Amino acid sequence: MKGEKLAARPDLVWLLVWLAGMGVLLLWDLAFLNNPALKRLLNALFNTLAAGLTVVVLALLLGWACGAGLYLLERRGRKGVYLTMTFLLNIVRSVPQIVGILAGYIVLTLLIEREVLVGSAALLFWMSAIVAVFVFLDIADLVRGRIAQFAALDFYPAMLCCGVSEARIVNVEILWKNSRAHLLHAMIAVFGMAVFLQCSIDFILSVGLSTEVSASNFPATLGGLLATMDSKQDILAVGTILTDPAYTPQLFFRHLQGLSVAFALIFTLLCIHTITAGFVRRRRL
Amino acid sequence: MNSPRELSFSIRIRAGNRTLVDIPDYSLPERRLMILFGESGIGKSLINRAVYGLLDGDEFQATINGQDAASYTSTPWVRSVQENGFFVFQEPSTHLYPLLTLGEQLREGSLKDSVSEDAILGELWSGTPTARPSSLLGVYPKPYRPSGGEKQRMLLAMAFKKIDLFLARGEAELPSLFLFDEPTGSLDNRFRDIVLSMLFDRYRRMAFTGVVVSHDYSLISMIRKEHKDLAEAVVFRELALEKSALVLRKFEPETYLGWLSVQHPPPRSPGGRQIARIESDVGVFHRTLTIARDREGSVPAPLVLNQGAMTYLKAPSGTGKTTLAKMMIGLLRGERFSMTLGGDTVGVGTREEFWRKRVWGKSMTMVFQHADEALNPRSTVFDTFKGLPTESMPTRDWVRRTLHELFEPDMADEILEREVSNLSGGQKQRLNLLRGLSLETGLIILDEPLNGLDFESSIRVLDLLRERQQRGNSILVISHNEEIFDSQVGDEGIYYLVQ
Amino acid sequence: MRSKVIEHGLSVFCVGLLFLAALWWYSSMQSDSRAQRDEALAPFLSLDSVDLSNPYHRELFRETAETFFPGQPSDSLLGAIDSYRAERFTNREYKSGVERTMTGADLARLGGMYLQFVAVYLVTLLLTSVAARSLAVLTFVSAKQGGGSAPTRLLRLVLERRGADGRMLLRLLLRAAGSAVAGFILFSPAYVVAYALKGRIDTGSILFMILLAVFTNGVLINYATRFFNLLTAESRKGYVDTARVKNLRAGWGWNSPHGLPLRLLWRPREFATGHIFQQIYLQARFQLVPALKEHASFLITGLIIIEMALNIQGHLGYELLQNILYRRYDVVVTILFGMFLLVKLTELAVDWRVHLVTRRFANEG
Repeated sequence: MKGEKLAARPDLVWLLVWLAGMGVLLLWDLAFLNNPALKRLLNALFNTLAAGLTVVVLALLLGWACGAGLYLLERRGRKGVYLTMTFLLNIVRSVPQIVGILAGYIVLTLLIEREVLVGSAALLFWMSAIVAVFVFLDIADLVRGRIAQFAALDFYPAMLCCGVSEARIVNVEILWKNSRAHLLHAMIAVFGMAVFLQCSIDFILSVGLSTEVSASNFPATLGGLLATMDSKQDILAVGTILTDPAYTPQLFFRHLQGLSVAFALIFTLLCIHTITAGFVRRRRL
Repeated sequence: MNSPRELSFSIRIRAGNRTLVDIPDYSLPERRLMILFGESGIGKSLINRAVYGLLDGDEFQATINGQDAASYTSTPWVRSVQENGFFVFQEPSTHLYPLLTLGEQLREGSLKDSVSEDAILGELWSGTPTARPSSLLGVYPKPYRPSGGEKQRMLLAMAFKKIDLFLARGEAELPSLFLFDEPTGSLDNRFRDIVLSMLFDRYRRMAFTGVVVSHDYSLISMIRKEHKDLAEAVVFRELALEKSALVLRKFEPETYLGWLSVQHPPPRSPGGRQIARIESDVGVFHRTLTIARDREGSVPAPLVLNQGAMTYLKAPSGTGKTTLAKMMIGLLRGERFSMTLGGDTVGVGTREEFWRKRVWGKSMTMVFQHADEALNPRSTVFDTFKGLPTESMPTRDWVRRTLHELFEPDMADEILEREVSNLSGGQKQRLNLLRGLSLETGLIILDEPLNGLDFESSIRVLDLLRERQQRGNSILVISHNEEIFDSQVGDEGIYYLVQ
Repeated sequence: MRSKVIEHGLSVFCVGLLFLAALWWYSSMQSDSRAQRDEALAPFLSLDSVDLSNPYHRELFRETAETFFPGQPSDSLLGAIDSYRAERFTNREYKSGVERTMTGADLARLGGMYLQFVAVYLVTLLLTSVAARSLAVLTFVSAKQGGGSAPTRLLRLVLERRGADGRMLLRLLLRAAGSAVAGFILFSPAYVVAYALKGRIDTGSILFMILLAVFTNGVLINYATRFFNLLTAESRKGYVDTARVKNLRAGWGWNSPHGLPLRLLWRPREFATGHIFQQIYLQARFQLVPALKEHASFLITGLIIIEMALNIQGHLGYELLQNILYRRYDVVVTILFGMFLLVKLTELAVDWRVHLVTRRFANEG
């Protein structure tokens, strides 16, 4: 029966699996990874998760404001503003995310050089803000879709005729009361996307742009840590087991830094996916 | 006629941790036609889907006669029923496939063998020269075209083809079941009568087991008058909650007929002030609608709504009654429309600001017909009254008092904090009506106010409407329940909408 | 559709203008600051008798500068001269003596790379679509057959402490391990897989790049999941019940009399005629078309990441990275515009397809 109950909540199961996996990784690293590397790993993991969460919060705010704002603008007959905003958003949509974020990072570097931006917390925030600009459209689309769905039913006009204000119908009745699960689902997906993009961009910057943007200027994420020489050597060693399977046990002791970073990153992305899939199944979204 | 053998089912249906239906004895009289009443949302559709063996998917966990849905579906009885029977589902729009034409859908699966298609379509469309069914066969079902009535008749045509196939086999003993879940919900009384006559004619040729789910109590009068020979073959039953337990019980036709015979419209108060007047010529969606005093539209007249009076607007389904109501309350603009509301004249050019500031929830309100859509399923009953333009925030006491108008006091207390999605369909409809009526606007438009209600609740609603009339409210009713509302409104309050 | 074409055209035009403006602003700023610096340094660069790489000459130069320009830090002057000299060695334009504007040869080279990028993109798009379809159909039908995934069944066994025969347990364990390995590969960022295989296979080849683009970065699994979710949602719609009562086939066994043909998995045009799955599948596929836009955009992101992270010379992503490094922003802007154009063209194609299909089923065409 317990199994039945848990199987009915696959999202929760996968959250537990993620926590357990990360716990095992931490214990293993505490035992076998050298102290400076462990510190770097924990710092990078913290930065990655913090940046991901910041992106989620910013994307939610931006997406909600844009989605609800656009709908109300359209309803109030502000066609000019509505079309301009839709047009601009569509342009942002057509920029491949990685390209947009790269451009944003170049601007950030200029600001660092001119010492406009100092402190790792501020940097982490602006890094996340740039990523949020290129992922919030998913949430904005969801918000607009939910409003459109309810506006097509009697739901919206029935409340309107009773004198309920449109701001309340949209924000409270539709989005807060009826779309929390949908928003949460989108937020988890955005979190996964943010982690992926943030780490990829850090990896690229650390590998390729080191003279342009010194990686040491940015708070390190898992991607940046993966790009260091040590980690890259460790990842290279993984390929060894294709030709020399007997080498496998060595990986878990000798090449722990790179392996831990890669595991933390991939395992997190995998679990985020399974959590969202489970959530969709459980809530029938 | 001998008393029929009863097919008995005990059914329990769950979704996750919630029990949706639990009925220990649901029985169908074999080779009889059962008319099944009961408030909406009580589980009629689910129960019938379970009996037909359609709940074997992953959406529900159903137990039928002690078997899980998958084992039940593979029993020989269910297999035979599925092979020979048919199920007409309630919502025509969602039960037709959007990527096949209606013609292709009419000849799909086992329906391709039937030869009676032309005759069936001819009967279902008889008397409508404008929309020939043959022109519809090449059309894909979309939300607005074909109309709800046309889609419903297409689904019914499928059912009649399947019945004809069964009759052609001539094996009366073969297990079969024909289920009609509110088959005439989108049709007016004339087409309702045609559909039922088609069903009864086929039944006369060879008896089969059939269930017709309906909220339309005037069916009783119709069958009593026009199909006297089937008095024993047609059985009336009602699904109801008795002390929170779901039961299937006999519905005595006399309950309805007796009530109807003592109904008289209240006398019209002579001094009623005019609240609104709508000119008879209306243009919307490139169509011309005329408000008239007669069914044919030869006596056009403005629709005059007076204080303390109930007015009844009639028209065949699909004419545009709800459309006109939406124009009156400023949700639709249209091409031609003129209304005097208090001292203001409003028309197609009136800005939304006017409706927002002066009309919505202030001088006029409208109660929509589908309570399921009109209410927020994720609100509690108490929260449903929040955000309304009342003078102060509604208190629990105020909401409780409001609920008492249509709910028993202990029920009102029980549901106050309950989420709307957990109410039965009838409870939702009563809440929907109370939200609109609580605003005390001078004019109230009610679109199908008896939708989804059982007989008892319908009477309660009608009493409340009479009380509101006495308090001076003007009420405009749109309904297909002609027999009931004819008994509530005198001739001077009846208008027709003609296309 | 006309409004869509106008909208896409207008946004290409606007973004083109924006890029041109950025280019103009940057090049004027660049030449201004360079001209100013060069002008200031010019008198010192033509001193034939002074060799600034010689420490003695440097010291002499510093002292002379301090004598003639008291109050001005001579170190910054020396620094500016040093960076000017360094630039002449490191910057390609200075080395080859060409101006910092794109030449026709540059454009032709970029054009070739762009075409190659587009070709790789189109092949990847096709492959992911076909693979995702098969994966989604397989998962959907397996779910309908019941039983659940291997990890879920294992979890149930463990939690309920039910007895299981050894062979079944082993099979479940192997399947769960297989899913785990597949999951790890499918969700790996491309660079992790590429670095792990570096030196063992030719990681610079186009074939490897396409394989990476299809099987890593979560591309395949995300697209398949979306399709699977649509199939599941559609299978709960009312029309499926209508199809069932019309006696269309409704079994889920592979190659069974009432079930589905197995070849459905590898034949994209196999529709399972006469089975309720045909209706579910076509309707889900119809709704998936608009999602192709996001998929395409994400695919391009993935390709760029692969090209940048792997440092594969001669590829557009690599070129973009290198030119950001050299601060040749005219090339950078041209590449970015090319990518924007590619996304826009994909969007236009998708909108066109949606328009055609919708028009047909909306009783208009």
